[in-house]
Amino acid sequence: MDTSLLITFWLMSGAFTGGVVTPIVAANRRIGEWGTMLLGLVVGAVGNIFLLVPLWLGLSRLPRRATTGPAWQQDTVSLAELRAGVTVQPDTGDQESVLGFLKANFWPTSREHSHRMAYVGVFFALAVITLIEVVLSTWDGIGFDVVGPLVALSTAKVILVVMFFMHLRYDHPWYSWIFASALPFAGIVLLVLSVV
Amino acid sequence: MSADTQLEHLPESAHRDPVVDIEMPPPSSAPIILAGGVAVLALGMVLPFVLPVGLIVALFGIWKMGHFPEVDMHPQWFTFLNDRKFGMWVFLASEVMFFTALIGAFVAFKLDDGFAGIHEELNVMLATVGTSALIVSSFAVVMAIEALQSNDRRVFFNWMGITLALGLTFVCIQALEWHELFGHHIDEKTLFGTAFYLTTGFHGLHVMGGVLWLVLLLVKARRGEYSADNHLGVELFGLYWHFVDIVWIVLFTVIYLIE
Repeated sequence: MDTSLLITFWLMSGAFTGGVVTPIVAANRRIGEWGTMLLGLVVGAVGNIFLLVPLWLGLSRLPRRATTGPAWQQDTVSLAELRAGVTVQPDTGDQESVLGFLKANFWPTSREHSHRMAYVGVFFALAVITLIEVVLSTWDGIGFDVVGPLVALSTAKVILVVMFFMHLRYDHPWYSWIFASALPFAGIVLLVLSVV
Repeated sequence: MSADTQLEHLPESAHRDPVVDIEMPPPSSAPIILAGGVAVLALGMVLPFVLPVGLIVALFGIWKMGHFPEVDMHPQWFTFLNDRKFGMWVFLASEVMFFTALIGAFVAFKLDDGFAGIHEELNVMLATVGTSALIVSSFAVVMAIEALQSNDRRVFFNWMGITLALGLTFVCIQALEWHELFGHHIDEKTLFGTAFYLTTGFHGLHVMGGVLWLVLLLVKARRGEYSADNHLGVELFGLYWHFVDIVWIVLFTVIYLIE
């Protein structure tokens, strides 16, 4: 990759990440959302993730301001409850520590039939498999044909996403059959391509 | 509390026959405006100066559609399945056939021609970053749905914001990769170029469609449309987004990893 492309990628990815994530981090702090977006854009463009992380940590330590937005944006009350006149105190959790901040902003509340831990496990499995795939593909010292292992690993990733993220493991089996009904036709397409 | 007593406490609407109780929304021009905007956007790939017009019309259509209610039809057959989810899976099944044809053609060309020297031109590391962005975005969608089912609106918006950012990041990475390959004179006149741009281009269009859908979802969510009791619209988007992720997992292996 030439230098100009690297610089463009650095600027674009940094400005975009800063512009999107910074207002989220600074939400409900004593600082305006539009100002933080602009700040994130500039800091991200200059220093990308290396300057953005210290900025986010700094912003997350700013004092909180009183909630002014509609209740449904802030707390854990459903729209139906809100229409019925239920008022709930915003559950902001412990936002003082980094772990508390992450938990309050990114960790869904537990409920019956929650699949949070399964999703986290599948995510890490996908990340590890991708890493193994890239190593297999780019490492010159491997003395065997990597096509088979690569196909097997990507198939495993597809199955993980379909069964867990797309919920087929938990849903009615009919949805699986509808999805699988495409496979014979896909097989015919591949057969025709291999003959032609 | 017994079951009968619980029923007595339900609102009157819950006792009505669901088949009779369908309230159809009034006619709306929003889908036509959105379709027109997307058509102009597609035209913008050939005539770049119409791109901003297409984007403005498409975003206006999305804003209008954000005010259009989602309706369940309560079918009388296959009542154990949700009709909208059923339709989504049928659509995804058709997409499997579509992408099988594209990827199959790419593999057939690869086996036939060999695409000698191409692997050195492809930027595997950049594509790995794009793949990671899509995988993290898929994870973000499931966490957002989990949050919505628990009525954690702040967590829901945060994860959906991350999904939007990563979706756009992936499109930017694809644009960079195309720019780089064009710089190395790999264009549509070469066999590899034809197969590569067609396959990754259609996938990229699906990602862009997903990003527009996500913007529409966020508009509706800001209006309070979704909650733990009504999250099917978000779930259907999730199915589509995961499918786009799956297609890229296969493309990444076929195009970038296998020499």
